[in-house]
Amino acid sequence: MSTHTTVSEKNATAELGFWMYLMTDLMLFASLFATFYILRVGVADGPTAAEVFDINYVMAQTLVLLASSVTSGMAFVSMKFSMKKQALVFLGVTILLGVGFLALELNEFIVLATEGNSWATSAFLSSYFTLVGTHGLHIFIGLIWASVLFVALAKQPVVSDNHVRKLSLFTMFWHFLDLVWIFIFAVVYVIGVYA
Amino acid sequence: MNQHESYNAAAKRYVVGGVGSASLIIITYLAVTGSWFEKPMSIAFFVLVLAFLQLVLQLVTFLHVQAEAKPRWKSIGFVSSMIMITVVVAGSIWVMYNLNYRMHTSGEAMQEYMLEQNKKGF
Repeated sequence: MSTHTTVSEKNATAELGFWMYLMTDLMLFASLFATFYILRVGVADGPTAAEVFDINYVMAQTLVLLASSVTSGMAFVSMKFSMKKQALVFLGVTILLGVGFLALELNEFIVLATEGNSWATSAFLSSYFTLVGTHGLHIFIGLIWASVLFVALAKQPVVSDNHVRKLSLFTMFWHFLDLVWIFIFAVVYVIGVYA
Repeated sequence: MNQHESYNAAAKRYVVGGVGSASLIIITYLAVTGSWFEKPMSIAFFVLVLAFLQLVLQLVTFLHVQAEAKPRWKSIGFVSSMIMITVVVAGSIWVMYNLNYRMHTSGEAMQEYMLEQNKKGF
């Protein structure tokens, strides 16, 4: 019993430490949001938000990321209740949805840049690419993390508390990225275009 | 995370969070595409309120913050970072808006003003 307590204490400490990292990351995103909000009117000779963004496209992106956030949570819960196969299926789906999201975002960036609306065009586009690109970079790192975790977990025959902890930290990261995206969706794509 | 929660209860949280968040996203979409509001300020306010509702919903259903045991370090960390973020974001927007407002003079008038201020020295 005493060893069990130490393990869950270790898990709680790791979760708290990782949470504090997420809070510092939130500061980074907050300053990028402030920058975007201030510079969004500085379109120079370039296009406005309403001219370059398509709400239907972004809706698809948003729902894909939300779905992957839900499946990552389900992967963690399955792992916690020692259902390893189910956890791996959910983690695999999370990775696929994450790749889909990143592909949609990269496609949007490429279309913008090739149409002559790159980050060099205006202050609005510079701040847009910085904010959304930073989020995309986090997603990319999260996908590498999830893939490494997937292989490592698949190799293990028995589910231990360590595996649960590793998956719980990734899941927190992924939920956090979805939370940031809610505000990118609201501020950049909805308020930026319609208000 | 709560150790005593059953699998069904935990899975249900994610379903509720996912369906709830999707509904809020779709309401936002319908509101702007169906032009429910005319004033830009009302649109911005409505969209931000829905975004904050979704934030709270996901914090509860996905990140399970309300089930945290005392002394609730995570919640304290979250609230204190939100305070700092409010200061940074609202402060930046306020300062830059003010600056923008005060710079809305013609180039010549600004030049004169700068020279005048320069004569005063520091």
